[in-house]
Amino acid sequence: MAKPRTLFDKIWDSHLVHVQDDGTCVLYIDRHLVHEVTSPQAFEGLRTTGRAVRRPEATLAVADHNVPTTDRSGGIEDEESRIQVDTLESNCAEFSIPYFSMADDRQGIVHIIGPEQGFTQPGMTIVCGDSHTSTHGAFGALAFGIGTSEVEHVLATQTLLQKPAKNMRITVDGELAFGVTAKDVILAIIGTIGTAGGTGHVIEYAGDVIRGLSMEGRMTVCNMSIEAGARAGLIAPDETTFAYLQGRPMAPKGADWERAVAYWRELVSEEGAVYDRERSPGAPARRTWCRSPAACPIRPTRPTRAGARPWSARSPIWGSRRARRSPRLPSTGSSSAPAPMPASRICAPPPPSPTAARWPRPSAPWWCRARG
Amino acid sequence: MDKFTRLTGVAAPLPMINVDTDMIIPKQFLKTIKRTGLGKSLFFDMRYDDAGAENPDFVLNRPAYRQSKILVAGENFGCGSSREHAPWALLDFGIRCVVAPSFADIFYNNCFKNGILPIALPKGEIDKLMDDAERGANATLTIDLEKQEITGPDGGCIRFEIDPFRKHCLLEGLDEIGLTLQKAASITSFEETQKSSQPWLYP
Repeated sequence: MAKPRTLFDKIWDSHLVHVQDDGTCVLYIDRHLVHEVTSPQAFEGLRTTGRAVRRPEATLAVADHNVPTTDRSGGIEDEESRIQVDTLESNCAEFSIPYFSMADDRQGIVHIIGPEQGFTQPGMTIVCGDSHTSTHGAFGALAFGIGTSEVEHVLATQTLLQKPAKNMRITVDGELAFGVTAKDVILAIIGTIGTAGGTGHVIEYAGDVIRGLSMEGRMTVCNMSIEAGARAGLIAPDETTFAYLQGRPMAPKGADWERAVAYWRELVSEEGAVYDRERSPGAPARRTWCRSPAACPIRPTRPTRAGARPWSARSPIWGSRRARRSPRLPSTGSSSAPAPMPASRICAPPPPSPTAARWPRPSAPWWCRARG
Repeated sequence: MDKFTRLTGVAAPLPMINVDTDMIIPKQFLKTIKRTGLGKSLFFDMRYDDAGAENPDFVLNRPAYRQSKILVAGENFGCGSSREHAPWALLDFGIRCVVAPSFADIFYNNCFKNGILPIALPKGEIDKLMDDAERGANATLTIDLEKQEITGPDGGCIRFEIDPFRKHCLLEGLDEIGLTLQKAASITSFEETQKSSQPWLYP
């Protein structure tokens, strides 16, 4: 009898084009998302070597990091940002790649447009030059971030050279208390395994709590797999996944839909499948306040300055400097993983600063204030 | 890509854990459409003060380390964003080898694509190399990839492990895309099989 396989094993095995003697695999990539920050040098590489894009229709490009968060009708003011977006647009035209421009209603954060359009589907291999590509794992797709050389490799060959990751399963059973969200779940998980706890692994998230999450919640969990150091996160597809996808512009239609769903239902880890590591941290009881994903104890209240473990304790040279300096150009880097984080870049309120007095803090956090 | 065979150079100590790619090359420098020119902005926030002047205390600004070719660092080096600008910045500065107890996966991969050798060693060995690196201009290490050995300033030798295929590609400076394209027939055959079993993937 064949050895029981995990969800990761199934997706991996079904995408093997070739295995070299030393175990290096040529892995087929079903879908490739491209944005302006990590692609210009890849297209330049194709041009200088005279190579074409193997499957433009399996590729989708979007202007992402450099899109202004303010009024965009006048274009992009910053010259370098504008050049980068213009370069993406001309590269897509030259290589016939579908492109959502800044003026397109479908434009959005690169990790979100895939699910919104139904471009992201269970069982696929999906890559993008961005570490938070792990987001798509919420659909039961093997999705991971790659560097620019690998972007060029996928454009030219529709494959990547890879070695299989290790399997890790994190089971979260129980029930989430009022006000506790998917973000708290993943922060609690990272607090348990550490910011390098997932290095070399693909994490499959399982258990009642994960099953009970919406697709948005599942994407939140898988998105932060990279903050745990993991290559990717995975959640087996189920009725919630199918309901989200049905009717999306790029999702299968008609007979193809029925056939696809039948295939997707098989995408679960088999009974008895062996994982290299397993953890069952239990549902977080309370909302998380944290300064770094590695230091996220579940606390009933926001920590005080004195009680919190300062980032500077982890990297003495860096902590104080980094916390002091603000990002210079907020239009870039918005969705690249900043893991592990210093104070104030994620869920935690910023540390008290001289400017804080100008921004009166509400007596209760936004999520427990009355609406309307 | 330049071949990596044997490297002799000054090793700079960076005794910090979780050095992420945004520390290596901050986000504001990602707006370039080239691979070159990032060396001057390597470790920007640590290397320069708010007025843009060099911070004399930062290791790469100290006279002994300005020509460093090797970096010795703490655990989980290169975590965070997938930006390949991080190895590009290291390379542009002149760093061809990073030695640390552990690396983040994407950064580790990206190094090999650019002729940089990342070496993971047990913490005890790193402590020794960190001590060597603290010796300033005398902190010269020799990395021999063929033999998989690091030789210290006093002749001490440390062996390291590396994936054989990656070693081969670095030693020969091979173009991975060219290698993969030699398997174009297998890729086509895979696509034909997948198209018949999962036609929805080929709209």
